[in-house]
Amino acid sequence: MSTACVANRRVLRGWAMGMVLVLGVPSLAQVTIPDHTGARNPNRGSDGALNITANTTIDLSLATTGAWDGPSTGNNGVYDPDKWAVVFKYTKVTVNANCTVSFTNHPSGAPVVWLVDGDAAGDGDVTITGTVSLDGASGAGAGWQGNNTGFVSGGPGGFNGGFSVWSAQGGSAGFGPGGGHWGAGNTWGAGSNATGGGRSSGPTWGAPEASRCLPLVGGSGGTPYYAGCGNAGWKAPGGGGGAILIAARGTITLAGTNCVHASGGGSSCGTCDCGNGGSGGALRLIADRVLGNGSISANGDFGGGAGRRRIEVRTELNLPSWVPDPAHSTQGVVATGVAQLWPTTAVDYKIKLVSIAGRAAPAEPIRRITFGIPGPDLSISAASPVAVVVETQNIPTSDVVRLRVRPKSGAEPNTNGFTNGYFNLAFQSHDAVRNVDIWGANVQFPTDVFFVQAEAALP
Amino acid sequence: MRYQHTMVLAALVGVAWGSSPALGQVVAISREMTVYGEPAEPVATTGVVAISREPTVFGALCAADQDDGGSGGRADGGVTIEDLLYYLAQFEAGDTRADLDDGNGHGVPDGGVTIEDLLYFLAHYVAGC
Repeated sequence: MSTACVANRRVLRGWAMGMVLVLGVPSLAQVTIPDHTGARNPNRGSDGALNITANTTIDLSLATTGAWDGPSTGNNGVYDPDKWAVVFKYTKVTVNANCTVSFTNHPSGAPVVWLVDGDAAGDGDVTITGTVSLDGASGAGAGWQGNNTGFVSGGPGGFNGGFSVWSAQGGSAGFGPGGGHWGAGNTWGAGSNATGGGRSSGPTWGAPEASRCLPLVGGSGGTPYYAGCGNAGWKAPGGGGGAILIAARGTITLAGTNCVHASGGGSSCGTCDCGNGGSGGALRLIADRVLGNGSISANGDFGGGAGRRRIEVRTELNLPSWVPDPAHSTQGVVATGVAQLWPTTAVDYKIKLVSIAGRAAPAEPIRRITFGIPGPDLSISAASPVAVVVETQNIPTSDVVRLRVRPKSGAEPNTNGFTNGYFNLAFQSHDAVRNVDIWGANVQFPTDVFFVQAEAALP
Repeated sequence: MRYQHTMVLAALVGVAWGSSPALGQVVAISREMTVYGEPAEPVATTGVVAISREPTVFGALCAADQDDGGSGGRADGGVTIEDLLYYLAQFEAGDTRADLDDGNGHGVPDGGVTIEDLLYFLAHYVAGC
């Protein structure tokens, strides 16, 4: 570097400082991305800068397990089982034009969180000119019986479509809180975070802060459908759209078209009918400014309801394509300048399957068949009713706490206290020490392989 | 879509020197800033509010179907010597997996591992279910 260049830089620096003194420093609002204490996270930026210059698949299974606000290793993010999220802490994110970022699911199926908080040099911006995709997979094959066997995967944070098998039973119901039902004429679509559409409506996700995408939950899977005409047979469903939270200290610029999408997967079709699609997922953006001519989408596919979208800004929202719709898309203000990343404690509803037939339910069951892992998580006797224990936290006892059982193949149970696969549990006691409510019942389960989930629903 | 409102702050500017303001005359204006109206959040009245993790379960038709020979406690749909060996090991260890019956013969666990559990298992083992 020449002496003249250094001298010139000194002159420029002095001129710039003078201008600052004359004009004053412009006030730049920023959003605080907190850690669990509420202060700015000291581990910010531990995944480095994400700069996408070619089509890229991020493997969420590589995340290390730990606290969400802890440091990442290898730029692979952190999986927090309590938050059920794979959290990345980037300094900045750039997705260049004609490039797509997609994901391979974490074994838990957890959603994705990008905390973009800059580093000592500043930044904390997100610019998406290409695409970030969290779509559910589509059931492939248009032919006889559908060509699929196995699950049709949901996007990260979304849920699988029903299991498909080459048999008269046609596989399982869809997964997720609004997963399509096998029974009732096989006519249910799927809906999570929103009502299902198409052939029939699935349940609506009704958590107190659901409109803010808190907690972050993707879409539900559809169910196989028997097309009785044309090349008749079971048609494979679609998986639910995934879920992502992008929280940026600075500006999120959506410069492309359909920059972030988490739509439900489509289904396979015959000549006259199709399987049921997945419902849309959940997209939540938090930043000081959200700008651009791009858009975000979380649509359901055939039979699947629309997902939810949420944008929160501190200073400016200028996104011409954004049209709020209270049922599916809302906007808000980062009123205190601190992003709220997780549900408010008082309404952080939790439900846990504790045991079946005296056997402890695994804390982290993985989607075994999806990942090609043989064998069940639990084996029980289905020769007679067995005890089920469920714990809830922060859930009013006036709510309905129930099991949902999905046989791997065939109709959902509809006898022995089950209705369309649901079995209501009874409130039993309150554990004041652990501040949890205990629910339970003796349940006659079906034989062979099934999937069981506890859920709480508004009465 | 862009939302914009005007927020009034307490910055006094522009009052004519020596004059008294007439009724209704503006005597002060604020800086003008852009804020964003947050519509009321819709309150859900139906639907699921929380879900648990979802394990895969094998429901064995026979209470004596305890293991597939891998000693992992996974039923395999058949009743063989491996089931007996596995169950006896669990029973001897007092493991909760050996808790099959409360003495009423209906296969309802009672939280303890007792002779009733062993008798319940053996009855089904001998019968082969």
